[in-house]
Amino acid sequence: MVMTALNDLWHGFGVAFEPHNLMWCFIGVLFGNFVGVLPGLGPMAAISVLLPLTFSMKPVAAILMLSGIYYGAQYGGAICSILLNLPVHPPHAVTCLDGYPMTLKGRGGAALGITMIASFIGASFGITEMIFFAPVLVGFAFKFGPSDICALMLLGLLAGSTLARSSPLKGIAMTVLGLLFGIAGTDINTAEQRFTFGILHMADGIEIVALALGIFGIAEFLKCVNYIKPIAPKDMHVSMRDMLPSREELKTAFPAMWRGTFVGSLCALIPGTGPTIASFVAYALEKKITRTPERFGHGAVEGVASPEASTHSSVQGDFIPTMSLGIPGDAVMALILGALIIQGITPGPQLVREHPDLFWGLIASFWIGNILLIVLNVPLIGIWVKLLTIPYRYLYPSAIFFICIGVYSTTNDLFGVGETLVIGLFGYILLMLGFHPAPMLLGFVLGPRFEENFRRAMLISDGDLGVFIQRPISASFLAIAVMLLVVQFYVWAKKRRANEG
Amino acid sequence: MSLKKDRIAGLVLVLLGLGAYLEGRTHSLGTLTQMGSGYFPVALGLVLVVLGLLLFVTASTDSAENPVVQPLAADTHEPPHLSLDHCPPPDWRGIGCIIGSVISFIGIGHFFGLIPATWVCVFMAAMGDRTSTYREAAILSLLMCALAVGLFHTVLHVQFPLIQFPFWKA
Repeated sequence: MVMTALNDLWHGFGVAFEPHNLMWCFIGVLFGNFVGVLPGLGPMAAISVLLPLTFSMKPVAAILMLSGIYYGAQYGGAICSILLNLPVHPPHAVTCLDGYPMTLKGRGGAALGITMIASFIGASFGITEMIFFAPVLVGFAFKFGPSDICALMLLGLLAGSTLARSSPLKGIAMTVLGLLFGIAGTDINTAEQRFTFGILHMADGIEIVALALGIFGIAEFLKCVNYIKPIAPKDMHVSMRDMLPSREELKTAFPAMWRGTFVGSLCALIPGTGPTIASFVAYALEKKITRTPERFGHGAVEGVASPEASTHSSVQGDFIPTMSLGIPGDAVMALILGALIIQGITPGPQLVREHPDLFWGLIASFWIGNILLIVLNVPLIGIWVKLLTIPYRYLYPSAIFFICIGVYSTTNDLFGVGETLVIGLFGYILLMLGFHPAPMLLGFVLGPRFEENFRRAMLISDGDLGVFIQRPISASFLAIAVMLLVVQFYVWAKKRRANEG
Repeated sequence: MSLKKDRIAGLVLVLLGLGAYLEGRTHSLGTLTQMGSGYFPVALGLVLVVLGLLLFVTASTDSAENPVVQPLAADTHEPPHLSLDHCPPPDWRGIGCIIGSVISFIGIGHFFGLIPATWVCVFMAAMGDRTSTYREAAILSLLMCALAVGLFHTVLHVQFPLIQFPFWKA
């Protein structure tokens, strides 16, 4: 078992080191790092902007690059949150708590250095987890029938929507809305057109690029315009030497990194609990076990090391359910899954067997990408810090142009651009009403497959809904889903009562 | 504030759900064994309606959950603090310019081609920021035009006429 995995991994390195793939992996991490640093642009926007460009690429190269953007942006985002207290991507919100106070104390460089080490350790562990765990999961997943897949999707959807922020009701509503968006267009079973309102362009359904760029691009710009201030360049000086943490800092940080890594890798295995949850859990754990909890929030090294390590190990581990079961853990994974589908690859347990070059090449590229990121970040830190000072008034107009041309290039039609604008406006209204539209993407990607499997399950069971409880696999998935729901509503109600009282 | 917001949010969900329900009813429902194309949308629509009603009923009366974020004054040197969780009140100039810029990309792109569309789109979007100057916006737009030609047209072969004069045909 172990030997086969290592053998496959060896093959994967062969794929990842092909010059063509290596180049796209490098471009991905570089671009991801670049966008991650820029205040006001997240990895979601970055991946969606580059998504159209990957349509003409080979599947392996496309996925390598898109994944590279994702974890590259995680590295870059840490810079932004530690030096500016500005979390672009939710997992970094925790890093800000102690990272920014460290900057105020003049140890911002050291915080960055520790982040790099923690990220690398976390990521390495997450990748190892994927190597050994994904094949096991795949073997298990081959036993799934349509009702089991349905229950698993339901679990993934519920977990993805409720474990997000704000009220679980709103999260679930967004997922349901995403499912509806997902089934718009021509129904594959009856060839009837649903939700097309007689518009010819809508027959193929909503473009994933239009949806992603609408909610993560246009809607975000509508929200942020004139609210993001340019940063005075004088405060920003970090050199390579500053990044070297002191021996004492390292001594406190190392055990914390391992604890964080462990938390992250556990969170990665539960569908729906992505890096955001992992980072919060890791931070809470550090605060609980330390003898001096009062240091937290005032620049405690562990408060940076542990969440960062857990974020990265969970980011890499998140690929496990996505690649082996075809169930994305969060919106970014949903996008990557969408890219796979566009490439004509059916996600699911058969992916590892049918496309071993893609699966193992991706894993190998994680190692390469993470090493590239360390190489990129340590010597180039000065340049990345300079990038922080690019004002938002240059960023978002350029990004809007990239969105327009990007959507246009997917269909060679201006209709898609209009579609993006409409979805963007709709997304902005949702944001104003306190929704977080990210789970929509999860529902959108899973929508058609969910309906398909539900139909099949009902056909097999002759319309008996009891099949979901009778089959042990789907019953246990449903039980976990119900448990998750109960816990979420309980926590939410308690928090709200505390707020009111 | 929050009370009103959650109530509106609930109503919006109910409306969206009703819409999905009504559209779904125009297709055949079928039975649970042999589901028609309308079954799934109708079911999802009803779920949305229920969620919306629940949200409406349980709407929090607590206003402390939503602190109001003020637009940043031009002279503060504070680092930006834009919360991930709360949406600040709309900035109409920015919003108008962004919407206008995308619409003009579509309109001008349709009639006059990529270069004029890009220039107007970027310029208009840039003017949405209150600290932008005409000069800066114009230069940024020119840079993006260069990128449109150099990267998207020449390297990536995006099928979009660079420039055309539709009303000027001889």
